Amino acid sequence: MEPPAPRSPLVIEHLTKRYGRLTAVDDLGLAVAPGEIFGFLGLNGAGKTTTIRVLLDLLRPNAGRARIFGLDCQRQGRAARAHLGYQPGEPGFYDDMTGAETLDLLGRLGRRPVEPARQRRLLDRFELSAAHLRRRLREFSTGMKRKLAIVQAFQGGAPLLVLDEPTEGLDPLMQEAFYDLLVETRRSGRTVFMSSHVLSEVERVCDRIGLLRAGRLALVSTVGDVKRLAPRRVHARFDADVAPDATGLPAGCSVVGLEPRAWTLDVEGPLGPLLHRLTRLPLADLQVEEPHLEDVLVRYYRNEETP
Amino acid sequence: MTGLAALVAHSFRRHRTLVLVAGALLFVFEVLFVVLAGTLQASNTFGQIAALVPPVFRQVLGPSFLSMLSFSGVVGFGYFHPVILAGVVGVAIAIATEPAGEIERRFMDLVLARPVARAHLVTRSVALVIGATAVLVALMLAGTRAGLAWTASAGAAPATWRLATSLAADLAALVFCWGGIALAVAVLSRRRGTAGGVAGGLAFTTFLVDYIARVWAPGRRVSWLTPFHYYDPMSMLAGGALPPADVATLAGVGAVAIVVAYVAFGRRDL
Repeated sequence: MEPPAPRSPLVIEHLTKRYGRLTAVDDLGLAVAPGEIFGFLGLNGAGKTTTIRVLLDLLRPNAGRARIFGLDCQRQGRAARAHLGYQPGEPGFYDDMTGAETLDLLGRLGRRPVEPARQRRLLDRFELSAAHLRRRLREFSTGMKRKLAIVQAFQGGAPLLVLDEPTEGLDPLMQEAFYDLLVETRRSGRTVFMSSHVLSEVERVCDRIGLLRAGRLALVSTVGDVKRLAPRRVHARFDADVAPDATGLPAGCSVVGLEPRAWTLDVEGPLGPLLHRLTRLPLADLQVEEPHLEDVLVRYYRNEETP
Repeated sequence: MTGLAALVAHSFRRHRTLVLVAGALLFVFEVLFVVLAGTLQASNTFGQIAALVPPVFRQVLGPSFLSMLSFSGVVGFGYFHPVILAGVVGVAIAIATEPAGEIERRFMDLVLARPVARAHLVTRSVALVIGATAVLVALMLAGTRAGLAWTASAGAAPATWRLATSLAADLAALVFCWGGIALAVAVLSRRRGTAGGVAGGLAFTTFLVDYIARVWAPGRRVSWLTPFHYYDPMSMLAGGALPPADVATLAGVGAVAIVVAYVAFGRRDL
């Protein structure tokens, strides 16, 4: 891990958290740069939520530490949390409170005064009207509670947003609204640390990702670099029958399907040698699929790759 | 408004119906006790009841039994009737277990994700327990006052009022004690139902232990461990003053439990 800047929004060093004999997070270290959207990935039970709860000082680590803008999350927890907006995975609102009461209370507990204009913009963006906010939360759908959870996290204008599965339960339109909000947040220089299961979402909005596997960090990389690790799928179609000759393929190519007039190959590394080979054949059409983050991450999830 | 004030206001709003309904019922209860006492006194029933009790039972029940057979005695009973005790202590336990409910609901995560000290949540609950106790006891005294004014038992009124205030102070100390214990249990729990059950069960069990010890000598070897051992309203009914040592013990146990709650809540994983 590169030495972090002294006031990085978030730095985690050698963090370990055990529950009895189970090690939930094991010697975790990462740093999040200012203005970055960092995706924190992993399967259920990988340790994502445990890590987030340590950042909030809801859990005390067995070893290591986490710092928010240089402030220790445990020893200077209150000061650290003054810089943070948090969206929980399961928003624990009181069902007998109205939306407006909930936002008001949570706004008062922060050190940053909630700007009415900012709150209004967020509510508009997520289509929460004044009439909605007058209703008790027992009348809210899961999606509406999710939207309220997003608003309460962002309404204080905190420079670091910690989001736990933020789009779970949102409909596609609201997901789009949320992605727009993330882009706007990044543009304003604020930092986002978000856990997610939705790889297409991570691929779309995150600058970097960290992948947690069984409590250990298996991968930290930019999204672009991770995608470059993925093999590209190449579909070649020919005008005439071609003898299927897998032995003549360049290194890095693996065969998915070889028909007399159609080849499907996975290519790791540069495409040049394969193109050179194909141009000597009666090539009619060539398609190269964009690699997906998922193609690489699933391999990490399945423990096929080691850090 | 500071974070602590916002938390207190929030919790007050959540519990105000419980406290006000319980307070209104206690107010009515106390009025009825005064009216009942006035009716029994007017019909000379106290003497008839006393005459019906065989001497052997009178000896077992002690002099405090006879002191209950009076206007002040019946009014005073309204401050330690088992239903009253269960109600007032129950309200204190319900309020004090709020932190466990917030952990269970995960509302605690939303609160503590902000620059709020864990100690503020305990302080909030302590303030609520003290405030609710004060409101309940004040409404009980108001009920007694209203009843005395209504029945116009002029002769007995000053002495009865003095007794009622002493009994109310003693009751307040007991409720504070159980509020503190319930808070200590709550901050170590993950579910409000569990915390309430443990605290309520503890209160009921210790009440029984103390009750048994009062009529069965061997029980006195352990009864000193129960808060109810230091709650003896019958001695005040028999003419004794509010025992400062017992009140201090109850308040002290409550205070120690609150300190335990601060320390335990500050250290635990949520």
